[in-house]
Formats: sequence, C-alpha cells, structure tokens
Amino acid sequence: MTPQGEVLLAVNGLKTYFNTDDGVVKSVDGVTFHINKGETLAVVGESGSGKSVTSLSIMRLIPMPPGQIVDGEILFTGKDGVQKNIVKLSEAEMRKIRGNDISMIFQEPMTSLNPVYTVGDQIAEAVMLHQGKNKKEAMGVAADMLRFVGIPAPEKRVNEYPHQMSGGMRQRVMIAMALSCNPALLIADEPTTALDVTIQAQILDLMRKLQRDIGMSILFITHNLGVVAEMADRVVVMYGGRVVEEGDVVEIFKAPRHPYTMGLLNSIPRPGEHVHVPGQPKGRLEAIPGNVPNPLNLPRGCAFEPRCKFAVEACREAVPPLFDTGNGHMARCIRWQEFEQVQQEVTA
Amino acid sequence: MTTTVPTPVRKPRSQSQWSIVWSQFKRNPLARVGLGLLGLLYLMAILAGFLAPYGLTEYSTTDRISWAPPTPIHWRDAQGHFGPYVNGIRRDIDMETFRDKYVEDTSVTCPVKFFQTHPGMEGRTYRFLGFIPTSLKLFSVDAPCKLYLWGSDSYGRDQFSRVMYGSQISLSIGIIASVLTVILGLIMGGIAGYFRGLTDTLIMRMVEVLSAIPELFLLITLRALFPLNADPILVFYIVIGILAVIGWGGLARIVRGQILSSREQDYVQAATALGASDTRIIAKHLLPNTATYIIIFLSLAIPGFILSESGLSFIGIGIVEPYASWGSLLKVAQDGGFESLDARPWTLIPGVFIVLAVLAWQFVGDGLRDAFDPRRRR
Repeated sequence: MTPQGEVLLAVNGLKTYFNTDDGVVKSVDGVTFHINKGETLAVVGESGSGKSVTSLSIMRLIPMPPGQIVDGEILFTGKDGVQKNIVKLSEAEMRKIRGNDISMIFQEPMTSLNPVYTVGDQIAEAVMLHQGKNKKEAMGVAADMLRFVGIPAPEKRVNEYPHQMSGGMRQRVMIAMALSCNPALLIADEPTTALDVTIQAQILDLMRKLQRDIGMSILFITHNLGVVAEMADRVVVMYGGRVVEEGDVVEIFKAPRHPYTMGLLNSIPRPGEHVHVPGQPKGRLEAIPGNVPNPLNLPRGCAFEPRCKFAVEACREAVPPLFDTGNGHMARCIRWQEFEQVQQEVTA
Repeated sequence: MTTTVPTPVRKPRSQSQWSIVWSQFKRNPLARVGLGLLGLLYLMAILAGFLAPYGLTEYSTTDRISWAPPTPIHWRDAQGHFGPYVNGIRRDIDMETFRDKYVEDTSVTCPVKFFQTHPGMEGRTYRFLGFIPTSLKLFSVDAPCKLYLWGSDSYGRDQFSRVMYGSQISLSIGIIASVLTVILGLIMGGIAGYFRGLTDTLIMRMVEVLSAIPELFLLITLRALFPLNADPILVFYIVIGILAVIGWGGLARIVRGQILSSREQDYVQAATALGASDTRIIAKHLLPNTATYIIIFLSLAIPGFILSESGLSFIGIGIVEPYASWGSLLKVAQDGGFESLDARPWTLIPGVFIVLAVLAWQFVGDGLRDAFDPRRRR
C-alpha cells in the first residue's frame, strides 16, 4: 500500500451479514480498502459480489434487520477534519454525514426522484437540511447546482417535475442533489447503467469535470470495466464478498494477478488489443464459466475456485490471503507469481 | 401577391391532475347534485342563527306550548292586505282523546317581520359568521304569536330553529371526526408501514382487536368511560374523540399497505442518503402519495360519522341538552312511542336532514372516487 495522499475513507475488515430464514448470508466478509482525498476508486464485481452492500454499509443504509454490520470499522474524515468510525455513530450523527459529507447517486435516475415534488424542491431539501438555509436561498442554490451540472435554463428547470425530464437530465439532477452540500466523498452506485451510451459518456465527463472543480473523492461502483478504465485511479475487484484484487487502474488492466480479473477483462469485446491469459487462444471472447456461488454456501477455500481454470488442490483448502504483488497491487490468488512470470515472457 | 399567414398553432397545455379530476367530477350529475346540496346544507349551518327565528333553547316558562303543530301562515288578512301573517294560538282540549290541542286564535294576528333585530333578547343573540354579535333574524313574529314553522317540542321550543342549530353540530361533527380519524390513521399506518417489525405487529393487532368488537357496543362502552352528566360542550368533544378512535383502523391498514410499497421506492433511499430523518421521510415522501386515497376516504367517511353521531344521540349517549343535533332531535320523535309519530309526524323532519346530508356526501364521495380513477375517465 502506497498512500499517495491523505486517506479520506478507510474500510478495515468490514463484515456485513444478512440473517435470512435459510441462514446467514455473508454479503461482505472482511473487506479492506481505502480512498485517498481527490481520488476515484472503482469497485468492480458482478451482481452479488458485495459491492453495493459495501457502499450501503458506508452510508449505513443497510436495512437492519435483516442486515447487520458484524465486524470491522469504517474510518472517515469529514469536512470538520475529525476522524470518525461510521460503524459506531448514532443515527442522528449519521444523518449529519449523509448528504453533507458523503453523498450517493443511484443506478435508477427514473425512480430515484420523488414524482410529487419539483426537482428544485428536492435539491433544496438537502441544502435546507444541512446548511440551515431558508427555502428561498435553498432554491437559489438549487438553480446554481442545476447550472453547475450543465442543465440549460436552470431557473426554469427548478420548477419542473421529474417526469418532464429525460433519464440523462434526471441523473444530472441526482448529481446536483448529491453535490449540493459539497460532499467530501461521492458514492456512485452504477450511475450510468440505466442510461444509453451517449448519455453515459456525457454523465461520466460531467462527473470527471465536477471532481476536478470540487476536489472530492468518488467511490465508483460498477460492473462495467470500460467505465472503470475511463474514470478510476485505482480499482478494487470484489468476488463473493471479498476483495480479490486491488491496485492502480493501469496495473489492473495491463497485468491482472487474479484469474477472476483476467476473466472479466477477457469478457469485454475489444477488437485488436487483448490481454494474454496463459493457455488460451488469442482473439476469442471468453466468458467466465459457471455461476456466482450460492452466498449461503460459499466454498471453504477460494470463492472463485469452482469457476477457475487454474485451480489446484491448495485452492480448496483455505481462503487465500491478499498477496502484495508490489506497487500497491494486491491479489488474492496463490498462483499470482506464475501469472506474473508468463505475462513478463509474453511482453518480452 | 397574397400570402396566407399561418395561424399560430396553439400549444396544447398539459392538464394538471386537479383540473382533470375537477372536469371529470363536473361531468357526473349525481356528484353535482350532491355538491350543490352540501353547499346549501353547510350554508344553512353557517347562517343558522340568522335563519332560526328563535334561540336554541328559547321557550316560555309561563305559556308552554308543547307539541304544537306547524303554525299555518296566512297571506291575505280580513282587511284584504296582502302579506304573511300568523294567528295566535289557543290551547284547547280534544274531547275524544282528552289531549291538548291547539287551535288558531283568529282574533290575534301578527305579521311576519323580516330582518328584525331583537334587542334585549339574550337567547336570540348569536355571532354572525362567528364574529359579529347580533340578533338579526331572517323572519320572526312578535309576541304573543308564535311561529313554529315545523312545530314545537315538549318544552315548546321551535323545532325549525333547533334543526338549524342542530345542523351546526351534526355537519361539523362528521368533518372534525373524520379529519381526526385521518390524522390518527395516517400516523399509525405510517409508523406501522415504515418501521415494520414489532411496531407494525402491535399497531395492526390493535386495529384487529378494535374491528373485532361490535361497533355499537364499543361506542357505548367508550361513552360509559365518561360521566353521563358531563358538561355538554365536553360531551361534544368526547363524542368526536370516540368516533375517531373507532374509525382509524381501516384507514391505518390501507395507509400501511401503501407505505410498505412506497418505502421501497428508490427515492426514499435517495432521501435517506441525503440525510433526511425518518419523520421527514414519512411526512414528506411517503404520506403525500396517499393523498388521492385520503380525499376519497374523507368524503366517504364523513356521512358515516354523521350517521354514527345521530345514532349515538338517538340512543341518548351523544349530544345532550341544551344542545341539539339532528340525531338528538330525532330522538324527540320517539318520545311517547309510535303512536306519537302518528300524532306529530313533523318531529321526523330532522331525519330528513340526516338522510339528505348523508346522501349528498355519498354522491360527492362516489363522484370523487370515479374522478380520481383513470380507468373510469370519460
């Protein structure tokens, strides 16, 4: 781990479990990562890998019961400069952080705005909650925020209802809402998944621009590696509730050290360039065989082992530790050194 | 060269939900009748003091005229003058039944006077629109005549005046009780649906227990908790409270159901993520979604409460003397058994008002329900 700057958020050994009738689902099982100030961290993984639960745990939005943060700490340094452990905060303290220090934008812009209020009302709500402004001032801020996120004629748009706007517009409104109190951290949970590709690019551009202007950190949750390559400084790959690989974005894309990351990279259609995976013919789009393991019944060893073509007997024995592979790159695979060797031979 | 100037295309304006509902409502003839009738009834209640020739409790201690029939109004007197007047009343005895009967005393005539004030008559003073103290009456006659438009009761009080004043209580009790019910139902249903778990179970079991007890029995039991001879004003509020306590269950159930589904909406999570508190989310993001339902519920609950109040007053545990409601006035009709109904059918007039008010509210409620229902749009 090479901290490039000040650490804004550090998640240490976070365990979020859900008690269901069939047993305990360990959605997040000992996740550790950190986000520096001003950096974008992408958390990548397929459905059920625990990435959304991680982000909801940071916001303390896990429905309790059945959910429960059983262990670990989430250390966050807010705008007041005091480091707090989010897991231990009271609900009232947490409300002060939500929207003010940490904001969140969601996957579905179509349903994340309340249909019965104007967008101005909804942006102003956050401003009034956290900055103690009156309704008139807050509506002014709302209009400013709409202009800030690139919505034309903001003075008119503040009085419009969500149904009068397109999906891309609504996501801009969501971003305006999230940024209205200048948060230190923005959690974006698949913010572009529900949008078409052109709008997707616009929204990503906007987020990058806003990040430069405000200097906030972004925790970007996605399963889209194309988006990761465009947005992230560093990447955390999750599988079965655990971090399986973490590192600089260039490192991850050029030299993945975990078979799951390799599989993900190979499942992106990319004409021309291709990551070489040992023992696989070039030029074919590969899918990862099999399915995500049943979260109620995870394998005893490496969670990816049943789907992994490099699995050996040792993989079944115990959960592999996170190996430090250098340059702040970490991988949870006992054979990472072999991949490194092969990849070096190929590039040589 | 002639050019035709293109006529500017009128942009169709999008209709708001309320304007659609209103135009739908207007197209329903029954609903229109109901609304008009309600307007008249409530106007009557507001102007009760002005319309009633006598005070609510006004009667003569020296010349008590019990159970007088409606006073006939004459238009042309012996001298040929035109104008409404009444004759005096003389008590007589029916030699067949040995009961009092009243005959017109043509030797005494009193003209009906319009827009007269009655200075010094404490009983006839009222506050016009609740503010201006006055004793101005739409119509009245001077002593010694009596003008019993709809007959008198056993104390010799004018039933017409009492029906006017009674409308104030009967019509307001329905509105106040149903507003209270809605507030209770929204709070309880909102809490149950939002917090779920044990809170939900407790509240919903309470609703079930309430609905398992027969309503009339519950009304009587609850009323028995308070002294029967309590202050009449206090009794008015007790009755409202009892009605609300009994009525909130059904609404709470439906509100709970709606909250259960809308609390899972993304915008609720988004609001939480912005730091909104539970109370704020319930009040601002969840309950407004039930608005349509609440409006319909209100308009259909009000006639129910009017009926319940009448029922309570009819069995003597509702509004007490000296105040009057339509129910308590109707109770007068059964004094003396069925035979008395035959002898003085005018005592049933308050019942007509109950029926009218309930019907009108139901027409309006049905009209609203249809107007809000997009599948019934015409």
